[in-house]
Amino acid sequence: MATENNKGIKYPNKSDILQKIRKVTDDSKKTTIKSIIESFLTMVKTKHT
Amino acid sequence: MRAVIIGTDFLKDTDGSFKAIETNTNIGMDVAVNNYIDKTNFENFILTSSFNEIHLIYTSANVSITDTPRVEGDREFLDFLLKSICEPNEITFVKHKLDDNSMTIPFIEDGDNKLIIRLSYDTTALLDDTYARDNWEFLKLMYDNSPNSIPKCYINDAEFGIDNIGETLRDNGNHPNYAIKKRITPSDNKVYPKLHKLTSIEDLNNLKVLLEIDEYIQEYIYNTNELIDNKTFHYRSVDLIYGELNSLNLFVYEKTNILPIVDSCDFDDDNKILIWDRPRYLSKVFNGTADISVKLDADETTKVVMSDDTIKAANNLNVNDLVKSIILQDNISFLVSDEWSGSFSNICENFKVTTSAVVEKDTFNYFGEICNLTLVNGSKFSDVPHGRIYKVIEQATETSTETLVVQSNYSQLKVNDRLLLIDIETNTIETSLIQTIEYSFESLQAYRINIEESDVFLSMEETENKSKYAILTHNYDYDCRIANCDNINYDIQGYGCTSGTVDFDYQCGVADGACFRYGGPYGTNPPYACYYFGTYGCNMYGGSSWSAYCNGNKPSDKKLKKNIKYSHTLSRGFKIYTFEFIDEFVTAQKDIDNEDYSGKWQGVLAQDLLDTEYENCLNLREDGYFEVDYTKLNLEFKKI
Repeated sequence: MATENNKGIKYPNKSDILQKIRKVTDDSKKTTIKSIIESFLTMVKTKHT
Repeated sequence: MRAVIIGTDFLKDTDGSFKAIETNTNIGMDVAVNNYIDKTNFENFILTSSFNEIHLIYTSANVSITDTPRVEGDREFLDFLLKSICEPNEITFVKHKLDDNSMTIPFIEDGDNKLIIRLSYDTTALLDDTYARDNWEFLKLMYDNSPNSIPKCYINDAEFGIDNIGETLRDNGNHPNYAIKKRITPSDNKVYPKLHKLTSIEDLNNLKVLLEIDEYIQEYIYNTNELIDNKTFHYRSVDLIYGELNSLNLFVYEKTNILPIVDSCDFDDDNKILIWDRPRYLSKVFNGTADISVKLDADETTKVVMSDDTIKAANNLNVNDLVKSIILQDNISFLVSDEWSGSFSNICENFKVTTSAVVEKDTFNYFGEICNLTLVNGSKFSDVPHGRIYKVIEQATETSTETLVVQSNYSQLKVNDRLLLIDIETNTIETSLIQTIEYSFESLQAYRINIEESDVFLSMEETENKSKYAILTHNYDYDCRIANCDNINYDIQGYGCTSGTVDFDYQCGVADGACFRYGGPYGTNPPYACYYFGTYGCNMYGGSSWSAYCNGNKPSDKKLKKNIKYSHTLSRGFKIYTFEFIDEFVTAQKDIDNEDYSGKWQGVLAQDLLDTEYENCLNLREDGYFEVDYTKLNLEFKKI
């Protein structure tokens, strides 16, 4: 059943409806992400050479 | 050495694992780069590689300044390369700015001493054309190496097929748990991904059956273990890929969705979330700034005061309706309203109530910010961010303080701003301070309304059980001095959109009653000022040679053009390009017909229309080249 409970919710600050960007400083997160990207690039290299 | 910058997006699942979502080229460097990038690391890379030239290939979409504060950064990446890397190390920095819709890049000779960084799109590049453009290529490659490196998927395809959703559905509680996505990017962000809450395998199987050939299903990762300002977010890793697919991480950031989380979202009868909840679950719900920056005057909640003091909802307002209007001061033209300000006391003494007519009304499906005002006197008003109203300000001069009335957009208003109001019972001016401003994100119909002759209409307060105060609302700046003129006179006030007798029909197909507006692509000085925006898509060019830029038959043979770049495809199905004419043709046309075809133009390629329903718009010139009748095609052929 369709609901409309959230339609038109009002927020007190403009920042409530704007996106926020934050730098990642956690090295373990960065290392994990870096290894996935390097793995992706390795696979691309393998597939196309 | 050639390099490209990619942005790869990840979601962190509730078990702590990172899932790759997609990789992108042609990314916007829209964070404050200087605060994000590891300068030492980047500088070491440059210096140890002994580069003495850095080239950057980019478009304004990659490093542009936006007027909407949805992103932090602007051109900082350019400044970073120039001021933080190149200048201190005596490295030459060369910028190559391309057109926004460029699909390829210019040739730049490579060398061991050069780092050629590409931000823009290149359709001939492997990462761009295969793994960034085609999500299936990316997901399949990732899946084959490590199934858990991506969210669970269902892709029904012989080459790229994946089906690891299994028999146990993801449990996201009251929130969507599966997304239907498009194979090829970019897709329409207003529609995709479609987010569903599936509760049974039957639901899933039904969704599978209904998939279009280029759609796939992916589990939707909803993780509230980490939030920023009560919003869920994704991770983006920005990496420089250089040489033989080596990578240098520039930075990683988290970017939130647009709206805060709620306990549960709203679904339609197919268990797809409703449009106003999409910004809680997605970071993109528009297709660019054009979707959110269109200038509108009113929304469907706006109540317009009519000339007889009755109230009419904006959605019921019709062309030729008479509305109550205000002339704030004699001899003040609202044509220069952006710069206009007036003395508050003078306005209070001299303003006049008048009647104006609705001469144009355009309707838009609006989805975005709505500003909701509550004034100290209890009145409530709300409207789209570009809605323009009047406020009273104190402005200090050398000797005293002046009280002035100026225009303001809703989005520029602040608490304690004093708004100019009209008491419609007594027709007197009053003011009241803004007590609170609240912001909502709504999907509704909004309108661009043109009122003549005064450009101000009155929007009644939306206060429950109260209809006393109206707010002065300035209409959208249509540029025409008189919108419905069907004649033209070049002599009146230097630019002609007022009166006279010129019949353009045989030239451009302009209908009677068309609107000629001041300004346009050929400048604002006479005699170039008249520009027709109407349904015939025809330029009007004033003065003795005003027919020169009318559309009609224009050379459009592919063989006469160079530097052809695809721009976009119209809903009618044909493609629009930008191009230049070849030099021999430009010279010949100038010599023979005294027509200037130099510079960059926008239009169609005649050959595209062959064997289509628009073939009857083609003519074969005496010289054997095709021309296109743009009037018949109902399209503007224009110099850009």
